[in-house]
Amino acid sequence: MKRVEVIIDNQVLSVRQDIPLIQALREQGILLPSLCYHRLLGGYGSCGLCVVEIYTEAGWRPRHACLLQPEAGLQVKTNTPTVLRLRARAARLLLRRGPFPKKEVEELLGHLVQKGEKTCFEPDDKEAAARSRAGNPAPGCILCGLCVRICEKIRKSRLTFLGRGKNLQVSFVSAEEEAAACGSCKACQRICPTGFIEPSAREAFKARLYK
Amino acid sequence: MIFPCHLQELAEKGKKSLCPSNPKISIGLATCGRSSGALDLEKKLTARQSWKSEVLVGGVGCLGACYAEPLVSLRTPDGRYYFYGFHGQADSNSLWQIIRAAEGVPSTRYLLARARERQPGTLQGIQDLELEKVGDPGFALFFKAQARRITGRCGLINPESLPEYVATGGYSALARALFQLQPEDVIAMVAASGLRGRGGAGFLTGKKWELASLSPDPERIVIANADEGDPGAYMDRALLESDPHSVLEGLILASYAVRASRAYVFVRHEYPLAVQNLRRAISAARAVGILGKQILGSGFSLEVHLVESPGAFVCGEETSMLRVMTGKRGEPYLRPPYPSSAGLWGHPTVVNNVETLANIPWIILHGPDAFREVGTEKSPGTKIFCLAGDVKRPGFIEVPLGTSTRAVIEEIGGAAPSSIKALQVGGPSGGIVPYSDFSLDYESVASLGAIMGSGGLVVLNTNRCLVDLARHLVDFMARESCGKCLFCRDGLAELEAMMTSLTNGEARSEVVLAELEELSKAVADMALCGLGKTAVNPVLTSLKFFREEYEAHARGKCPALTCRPLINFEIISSQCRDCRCCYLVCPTDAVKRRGGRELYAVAQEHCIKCRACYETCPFGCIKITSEGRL
Repeated sequence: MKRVEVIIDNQVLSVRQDIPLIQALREQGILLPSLCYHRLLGGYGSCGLCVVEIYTEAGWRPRHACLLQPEAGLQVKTNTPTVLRLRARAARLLLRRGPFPKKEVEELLGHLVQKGEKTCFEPDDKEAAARSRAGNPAPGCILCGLCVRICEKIRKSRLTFLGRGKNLQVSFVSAEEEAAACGSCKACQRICPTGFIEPSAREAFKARLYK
Repeated sequence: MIFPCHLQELAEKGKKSLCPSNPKISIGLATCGRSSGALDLEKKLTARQSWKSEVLVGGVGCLGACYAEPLVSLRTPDGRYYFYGFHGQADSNSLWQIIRAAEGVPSTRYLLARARERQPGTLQGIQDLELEKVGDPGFALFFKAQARRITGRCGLINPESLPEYVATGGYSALARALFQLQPEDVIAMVAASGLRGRGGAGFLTGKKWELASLSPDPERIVIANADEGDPGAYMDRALLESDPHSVLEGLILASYAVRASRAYVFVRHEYPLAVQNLRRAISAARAVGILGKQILGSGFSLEVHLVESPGAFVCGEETSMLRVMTGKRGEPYLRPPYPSSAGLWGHPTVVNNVETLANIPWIILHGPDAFREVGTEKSPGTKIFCLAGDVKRPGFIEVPLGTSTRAVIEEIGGAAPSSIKALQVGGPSGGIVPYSDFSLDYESVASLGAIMGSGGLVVLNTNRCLVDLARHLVDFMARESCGKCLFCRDGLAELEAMMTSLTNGEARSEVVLAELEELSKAVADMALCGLGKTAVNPVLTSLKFFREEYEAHARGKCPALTCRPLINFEIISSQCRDCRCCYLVCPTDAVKRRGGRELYAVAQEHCIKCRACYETCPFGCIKITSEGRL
């Protein structure tokens, strides 16, 4: 297990090199918020909450911590105004996909929005929020892909993404011997960050296919 | 120069069909010709029994002058060409004009131009034709500023005929490379030519090949990317429909250069004709030994496969394309690793745009120095553009890089400079920039905040609302994003909602503009692939250059008078002659008849802003206003 020295918020830390930066920092007790990262499934870069700034040739640039591999001498900042602002933006966009069954998700996102607000004032447009929610076929799902990936990982592959762009949704793939194939393992239900998958993936994703 | 003898035979055969001793009628049968009735003309002409052996009738690709389609050219045995363009009127009258011309009475009625082969009997491309007489001055101007290097055969040869391609110098670059050059030499030539990727980003092609050729993995792959999705851009389609062999030859040369044994062409399935022509080209090449085992008797073997894209815009992004080709969802992934080090199935893969590949044979034949003769220092060579929008002569053009926009738009396109407000360069990921005289090369376009992109060039006149256009482009990108990352999916959707609030008059203050800019920058920073990073370019560039239009919309006013919720129709009674046209044409009975001096008035609560009265009124006494909130 190779370790490298990276510079996090002006402190030199020695972290593991073979895992994504977000995980390496977690092991050091630096917790970056994230809703789409899971250590068994690797970085995916969907939710945008784990944003950090790293030093590149072109100056400080925002990056997803879950998609970065630690390398020697990497300079990272996790708390700059830019980072907080981008995090607040991501949180705001995620909240539009609510309301979420798990209240702690709402709280976390609300908190992140507030932290960003100190550095930038944004008008909260209630009407626009209501409008974008109205067009959402599955309120409560943030399309983080964790359920799709875990289902694939355990070789069942009963979930898939359907469509693209703003019409993207997760969908259940029916098969002939459904009872035998799905509904018992609950892996997706346990991994879902927002509590959307209730009572089962089949119910959660099938019912909304053609709405 | 070793020229394999069966290529010689093919060239002779092609020459006979290109420059026959009988009159020959060629009809432009690319998609643009078909959409204006060329197939019908072809059917009627080939059905003439009395012509059985006297007059030859055949199909060719797109000449580029799409504005005059259907295009028909007649070649007389003495090497004269009569170009006819019927401007969308393929009726019996035009048919008779062609018939009479073929029978020796050339009419001047639809004649665009008459040209002559410099040496009767030889034709390598459009550069061998000399203009004799101009029928339509616009047609001559359209070609004057162009440098048709790689599109020289388009519209003159039959795209389905391998012999005709060989007769115009095709596959001689391949023969030269296979028998006289080492793969390293080919890469060195392309690197020396400074050719940059024509798909949009402009990466140096030679460098890309070099990276792949240095890989320790012996299994290498080359892919021609023909998944062209930009609205308003059709250069790949025109090339594949008019001259598929040139792309194929470039593909074989690229494969030889990086020692690949497999090559693919990835084409949109919305291009059925391009797919069909390409399939025919591949099988024809295989039949004469230009593809397959031991090409032309050399030691190099190659298989080319055609893959039809599932037809999403994002599938043209190279990493997403590689995923699609392995049977997965078209989701881009992060580079590095770049495809040239590890691409399809993990093998080093060279992904080149169709137009890039079409440049390769030219470079091998004429050398890198000749290639650099046109274009600029950093952007050598020529570029195909698709001219569309508010110009008199839209079409498919090829000009040296660094040509000024003025030359392209005013001389080639024939637009009046006073009427043009803006240019949209590089499709939905490019920018909306004010019309000024700038040089069309990678650096200049990038300095304006746009990208060269694939080569779409949409001209916008003063009646176009740029806020609405930017909204439309963002909406397109929000629908076409793969949807994996939040900022590209929901961020773009949010942007679109904000732009909609501007165009339908719901936006209450200019705070929205600051917000638009902030969010656009956040999307560009946080999106994971090129699609998301560039999707906000239209918004950012139009905000930068046309901020006053945005400010007007925030006050509920549309300067171009096109956003329906922001405009009103008024009838100027002093000019009204009581002809009742507006009254009769209005679908919602919003035009009310009044007594007294004011004869008619528009009842705003019923008006649906359909513009019917405005377009019908013969006296021009209907005025569109956009007052805005004071």
